[in-house]
Amino acid sequence: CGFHLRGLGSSTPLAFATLNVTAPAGGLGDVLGRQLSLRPDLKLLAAKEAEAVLAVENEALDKQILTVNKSGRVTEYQLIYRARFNLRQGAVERIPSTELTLRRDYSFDENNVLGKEAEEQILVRDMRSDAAQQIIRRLAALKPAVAPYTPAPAAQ
Amino acid sequence: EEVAGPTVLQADKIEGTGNTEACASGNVALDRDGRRIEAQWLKLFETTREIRAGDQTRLSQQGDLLEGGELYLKEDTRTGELDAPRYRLGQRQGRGDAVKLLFEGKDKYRLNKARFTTCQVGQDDWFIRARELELDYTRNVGVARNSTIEFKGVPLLYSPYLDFSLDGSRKSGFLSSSIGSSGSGGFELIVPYYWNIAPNMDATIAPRLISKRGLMFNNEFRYLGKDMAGQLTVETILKDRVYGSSRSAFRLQHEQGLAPGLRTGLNLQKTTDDRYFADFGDRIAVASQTFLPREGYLSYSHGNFGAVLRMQRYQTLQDPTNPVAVPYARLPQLTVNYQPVLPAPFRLDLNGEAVSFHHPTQLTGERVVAYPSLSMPMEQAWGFVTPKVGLHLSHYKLDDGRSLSRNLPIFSVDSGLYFDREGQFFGKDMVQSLEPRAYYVRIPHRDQSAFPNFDSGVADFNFAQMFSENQYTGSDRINDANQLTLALTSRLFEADSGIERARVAVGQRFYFDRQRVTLNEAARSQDTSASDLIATAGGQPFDHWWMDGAVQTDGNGHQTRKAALNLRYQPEAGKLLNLRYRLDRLTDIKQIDLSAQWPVSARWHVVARQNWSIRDKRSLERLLGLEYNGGCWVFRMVSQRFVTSGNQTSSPFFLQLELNDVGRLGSNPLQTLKESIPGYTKLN
Repeated sequence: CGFHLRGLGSSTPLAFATLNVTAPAGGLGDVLGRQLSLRPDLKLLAAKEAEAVLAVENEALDKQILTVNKSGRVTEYQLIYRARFNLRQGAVERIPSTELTLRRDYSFDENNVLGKEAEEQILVRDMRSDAAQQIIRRLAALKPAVAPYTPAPAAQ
Repeated sequence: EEVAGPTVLQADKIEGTGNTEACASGNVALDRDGRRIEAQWLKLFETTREIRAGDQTRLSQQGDLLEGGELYLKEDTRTGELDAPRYRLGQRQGRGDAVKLLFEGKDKYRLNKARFTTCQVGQDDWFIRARELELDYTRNVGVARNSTIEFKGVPLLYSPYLDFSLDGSRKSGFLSSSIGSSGSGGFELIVPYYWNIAPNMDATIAPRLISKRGLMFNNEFRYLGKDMAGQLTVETILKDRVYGSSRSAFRLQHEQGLAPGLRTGLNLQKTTDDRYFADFGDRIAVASQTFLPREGYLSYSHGNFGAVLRMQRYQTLQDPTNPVAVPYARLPQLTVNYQPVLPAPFRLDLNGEAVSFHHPTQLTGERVVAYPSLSMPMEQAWGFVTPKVGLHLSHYKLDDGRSLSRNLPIFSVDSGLYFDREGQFFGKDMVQSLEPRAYYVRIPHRDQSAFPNFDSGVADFNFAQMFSENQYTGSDRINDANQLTLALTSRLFEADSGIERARVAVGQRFYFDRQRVTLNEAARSQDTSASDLIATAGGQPFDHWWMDGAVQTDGNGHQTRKAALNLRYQPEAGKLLNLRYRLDRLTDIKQIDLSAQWPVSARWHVVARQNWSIRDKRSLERLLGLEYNGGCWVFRMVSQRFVTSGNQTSSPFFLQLELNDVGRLGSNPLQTLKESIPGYTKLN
């Protein structure tokens, strides 16, 4: 049906071999760093030494009421996670500032506030990891910055 | 002092007295310093840098335009006056006329008997009419004294003092007064006063007159500093005539960085009584609050090390018709995590937590948990496998004298493969992936029935939960497990950018043993071999369409336990339809929710929402409103009704006139519209 294992078929290498991840401590940047460090074709370096810089500009978490019951009590919340990032390679902005929005719903239990608070944290981690994967997929889709030289067609 | 630039003076006739004075007449045009003055006659005094011009003068500079009669201008101080001016000033092109205009320095004007509007020339829908008007474009603030707001020629509001924004950047003072009504309070009048204390500090003081209850004061103070920010809100009603005494609510939120990696924060909330927010909240998000946190934290992170010390307590607002459990206070809670660097592919995670749990009526005590784990993540472009072993260690010292311990080895293997195929979907080069994932967990059984429950609960079953070791949140229960989760995800992403456009996923967990650790739910019996099945789909299948849906059925697929569908059509800003459906058998929810913002003519928009409980055959929230965009003003009329605690309803009504960039009159429905109609766009 046309499916092939990723990386074994018509795959192209990453557009850069070294990368720096710049991000506020303790958030998406850590997850990105962890996931990217597992790639054999990429080395994470300091900003000055790396070919490209992936910057997490900001992360925001919002919580909204999703469902109330007939007594006006909240039965479901929605977590809305937003992360803004960009990628620069030298002076070139390869991915302009882009915002990812992810949502997760969870049921609320008034008799288990602490447990639901912990569950919220699990969902935030899940969204961070999801966002990191989406960003990495966008990095992987980038073509090398300098296109191979192709001679112009001869003038008639 | 400013150095005069080159001067170009053109006229039918120019007479000079040496280099100090020039008289020009007939089609005069004077250009200098980027300013152009046109008049029938003009006198230029170079030594004193004064200009006089008449009989009709036109002064233009960087988009600003002043036209009038005689002009006197002293250029070095930018002071002077213009008779009978018509003006158009500033980035937002505020315009109007006056009997006299005084120049009071660069970009500062004072006008006598003046009118001001942000409407375009030829459209005279509204004016601020003032005995005296100050326009300060250095601070973007306008002040009108003895003023009336006139709408379509009808005076709406008189005020001896009115300050307003000239660029829409700040909340304005008296120009955001609010008149409305809510069910339990009757008629309401709010007259906020905005105080721009400093560029990084402001306050809003808003007396709120509630006809049936009395006078309330809402005060909000915000500040911003180097690496810190905060907000303090205090609301007080000195004597609530319905309730019979004084009531108030308090909230302080503060965040601050102390040193690199070291942060602290406070979130202190308190109210005097359980019904406070139900009585005074005009939005569901406010009225439905049940737990008010009072917490503070200190966190430190450096490299692979992180620690958080937190003190937390909740105020529980009880509703006699639906009492809820009071959560434990954590005084304090210390969490520590550390990932020492190991040679690849090994990864060591050290997590620890120590908490002292406090409660007014239930068993209290201290709990210490440590969870070291070693994993070996191996990743390739085509797949991954991560074996992991850990040891979960817990120790309890309870205030009834007991000491309890529990040590559990945890073993898991997570693995997945990625298959891709390239193709054309939705007319674009896309890659479709197929991602099978398998996750096995093994945890032996330990009897935990004697353990207290401080913070554990059964987590929702979803994709995040499916791939976790423990079905319980918190640390009081660790489930016994011999189980395998299988899931299949397929994504569609654009080939050239990697942007994900759609995703479908299906997953289920299979049990090889019966479950024996329980919290208060029934244990899973021996012959239950599979969990619920979850299927989700979501994405942007067509331009302007967004959808996501999820279904959770029992293990055999016979009964739907949970279902959710969200569908949005938004072809352009201000044109929006939302459809939502939710079903949850556990919480007895079956609802349909329709909301829209839709233009019915070039200027009229309808906003509406109906959240209908099919199960209860009643509306949980309904909203209907009209918005009119008059170009330089917007009128909004919104009626809402929603259920609050104790089976009561609240019915706020909003009427608002927004004068573009300047301010708003009436009660503000914008926050309500944003919360009720996901994707709502403000028209101006």
